[in-house]
Amino acid sequence: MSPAAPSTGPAGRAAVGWARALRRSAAPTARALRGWAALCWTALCWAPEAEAGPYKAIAAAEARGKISVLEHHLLGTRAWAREAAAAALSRLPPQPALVPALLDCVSREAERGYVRAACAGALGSWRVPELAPAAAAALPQLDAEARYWMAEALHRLGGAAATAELRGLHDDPDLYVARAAREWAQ
Amino acid sequence: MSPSRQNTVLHGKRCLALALALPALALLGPTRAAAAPVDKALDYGEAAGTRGAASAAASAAAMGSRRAPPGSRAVPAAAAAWISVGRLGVVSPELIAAAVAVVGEPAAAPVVRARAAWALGELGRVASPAEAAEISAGLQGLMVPGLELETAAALVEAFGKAYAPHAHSTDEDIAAARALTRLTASMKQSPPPAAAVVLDRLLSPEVTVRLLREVVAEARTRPSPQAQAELYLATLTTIRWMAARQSQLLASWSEQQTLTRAAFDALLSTLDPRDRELSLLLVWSMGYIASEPLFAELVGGRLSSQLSSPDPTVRLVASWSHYALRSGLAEREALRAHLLGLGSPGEADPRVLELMGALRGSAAELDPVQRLLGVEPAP
Repeated sequence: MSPAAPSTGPAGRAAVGWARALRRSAAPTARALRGWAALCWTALCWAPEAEAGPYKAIAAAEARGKISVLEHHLLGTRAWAREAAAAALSRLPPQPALVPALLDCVSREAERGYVRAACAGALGSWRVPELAPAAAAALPQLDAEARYWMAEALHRLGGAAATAELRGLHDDPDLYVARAAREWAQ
Repeated sequence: MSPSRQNTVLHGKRCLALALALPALALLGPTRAAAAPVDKALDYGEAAGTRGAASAAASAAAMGSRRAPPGSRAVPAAAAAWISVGRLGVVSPELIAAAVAVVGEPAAAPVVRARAAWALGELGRVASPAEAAEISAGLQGLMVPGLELETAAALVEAFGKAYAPHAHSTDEDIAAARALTRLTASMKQSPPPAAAVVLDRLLSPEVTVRLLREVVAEARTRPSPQAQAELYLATLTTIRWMAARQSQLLASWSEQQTLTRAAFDALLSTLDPRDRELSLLLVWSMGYIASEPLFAELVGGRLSSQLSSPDPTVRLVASWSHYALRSGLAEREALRAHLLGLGSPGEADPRVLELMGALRGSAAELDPVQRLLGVEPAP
């Protein structure tokens, strides 16, 4: 859209007037304001995750590999943001500094099941062997959906300990968990 | 104050206001404004397990039911809202009806329909038997040909979550298996993996046989590409079911004999000289599942008719199947008679003879043709 597009209301006309005056003026104040505006715009363009809500911030942080932002949300107050941050971490290269926080998340009984499963997913992707005993302790506390994703994390982890845990799910009451565990334990 | 001084002061105030407004605009910029609905939709799910769960679920369902055609900006928030509904675990007739309506809304984006189906599946897991029956009936009614893959996969998975934990009559299982067969037969892509899992749960010996009989009857009386696809799928389902349970059927042969015979009869009733592909599939599969002598006796006679098919490919596969059924005396005799031309023109196709010659473990062994012809091994 052209910057000279006609505005309808008085506020719009005033904004266009200000923008024109600012653009044309050679006064020091106007120059300073132009610089300030450029700085603000640059800040927005370079670090949208600092300003956006958690949903977009996590997506942007994953795309840019900003681990600190993901860590912030992993330890945050919203369960869905913790889950999304853990899921984003699972798609990034291993971050040894975050392993204790993720293991704590898997083991925390008060944590939501889907968050625990997502944390396990990250540890499974990073092939952290401590996941197997943590998952074994967590599995009986989880609902069927979380058990499925915890089993999937064990499948990603691989190895004898993870396979043994998967064998323990062969007779799971949930048909999807049982079927997946049988396939993954082979 | 002079007019020029007044103008300068006014200009300065405007500049100051602009300087303050810019960072605020930057903070409340388009990125934040666009993210808010998704965050809000997901925030509803945070009320799970609290006293506010019911109202949060109603609000999330209302948000998820808003119009969200593919590509619209409303799609991520609507999809996120159904995730919250599923996580909240609040089951009510209104929520079920709202979610079923969205799953069945062809104008809605596939991801929204899929998330609504997921929510129904999650509710089905925690619902009472009556509520779960309502959910599974709603989902079963939506298993119609033409669903795109994402919705179909989520729908089938959700159906399994709601249906499987509860007891059902044979008629209900057959109706569910038929609906699943109808949906998956219409798909151009590979069926969702959940379909095999759910079908496996539905199939008992009786359900398997009756399902195939019903599908065969429909394909014969009302032939159509969809009916034909269902026939292929039901045949394959029965073959896989029998192959997977071969040892179980044999372990209790005295009780299972009648049912096994009925299953083979139903399978062999799909043999149709006009349907070459289905005949080939069936004849080839029989070589595997009926290699057990007790099974071979049940199928061998009817399979022998394929040895005199005018189609050399059918004869080729039938010869191999008969070789696989070699433990049955009647089959061995039928193959021998066919190869020797006893009572028939005899096998003249070099590919059939070549195949039979190749069926031996090592060069030192006799091949099946040599054995059947009574050739003595070389000293």
